[in-house]
Amino acid sequence: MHISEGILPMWTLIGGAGLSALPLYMGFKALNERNMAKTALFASAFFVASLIHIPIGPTSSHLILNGLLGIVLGPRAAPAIFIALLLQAIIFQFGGITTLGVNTFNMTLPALVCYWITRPFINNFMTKYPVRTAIICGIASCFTVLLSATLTALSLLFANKEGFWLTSKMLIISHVPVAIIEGIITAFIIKGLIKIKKEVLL
Amino acid sequence: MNIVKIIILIIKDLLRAFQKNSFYRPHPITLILFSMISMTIIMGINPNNVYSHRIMAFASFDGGKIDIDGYFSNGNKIKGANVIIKDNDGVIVAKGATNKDGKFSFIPQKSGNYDIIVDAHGGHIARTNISIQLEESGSSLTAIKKTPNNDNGIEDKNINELNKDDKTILRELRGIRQEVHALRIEYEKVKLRDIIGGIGYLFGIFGVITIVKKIRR
Repeated sequence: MHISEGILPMWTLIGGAGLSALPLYMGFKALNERNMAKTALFASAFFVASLIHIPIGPTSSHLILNGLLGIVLGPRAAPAIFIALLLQAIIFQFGGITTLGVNTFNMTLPALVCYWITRPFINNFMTKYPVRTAIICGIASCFTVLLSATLTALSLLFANKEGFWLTSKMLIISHVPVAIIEGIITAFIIKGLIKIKKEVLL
Repeated sequence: MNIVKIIILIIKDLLRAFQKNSFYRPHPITLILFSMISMTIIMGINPNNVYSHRIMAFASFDGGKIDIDGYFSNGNKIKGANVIIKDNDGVIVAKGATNKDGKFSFIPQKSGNYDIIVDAHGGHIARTNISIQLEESGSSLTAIKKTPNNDNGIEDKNINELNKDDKTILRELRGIRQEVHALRIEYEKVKLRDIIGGIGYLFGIFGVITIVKKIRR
């Protein structure tokens, strides 16, 4: 999921950085004292989730949790993902500093789409039907992962044209089990949050 | 309190969770048990594959051929990764895939610097380079062996001794190389210390953002 350094051409890197600038700006603006601690907590969850791996074929894919971040943090998911990716690049050499823009965009846009899809359900049905809301959130985060995989595959298209179909197929197929597992995890977390601490989701 | 009682308690507690119109606060024992189970499930999907994301490539030269090994950052071997080897001028010298031990080897034709790229699909790529010095006419060992020197018995004996020494040296070198290899893998692994440190940095950064926002207002 993290694109390493030295694969993508220059203009893709600059384009990715430019595209992720707007959500980042909006996210930093939306941060305030009330939700700072929450954002830091979920950013660290995202940071650690990338280390949990599910082996598929020659490559292996990891949990992403960007659906959960989108549902809980909303627009603030952008700075959370950006800072977590920056630290992953510095400490573990996952991804890289130059590909930070592209990677942030690939993970933030699906998170924001997930937020936009699940928000009406959380606002209106959270107290009435907690289980159904959790299931909807799980399904939404499942598709968030697949959307992220698709975006990453599209970014890799710019790198080498002849290998695109193999790489893209591999990426999306290898993320299907991850998506399912992540959907289940997200559904359970949302269910728990609705029961224990509703204010977090509002 | 015996185990049966604990199990009954947990089952009752879980049943309480599914009752309608009741605010469910789990019993501490249930909470601990479930957090333990979920941790083992997450880590237990494949205990060897936790923390394997980055890939690494190592190259070593043993006088005749260059050996390339591909590893995930937990030490697992990469099977079927594409390998591309370029020389100083950026010309592709060799191309291939790693075998099921994660190995690929090729025989270089001239000395110089070689760039090695291991691509494990899906945007995972590792680069390494090796600079080698080929000897002009085979290795020194074979040069000595080929020297025709049959009329002097003493020198013959010397050659045999040298041969034996060379063999032991080679054996020891191989052992040292393997040890260096293992150490490098160990060094490149993701460590718990890094993870906890990273979480600390994260909270620190968000703390700085809070302070900056407060000063601005």
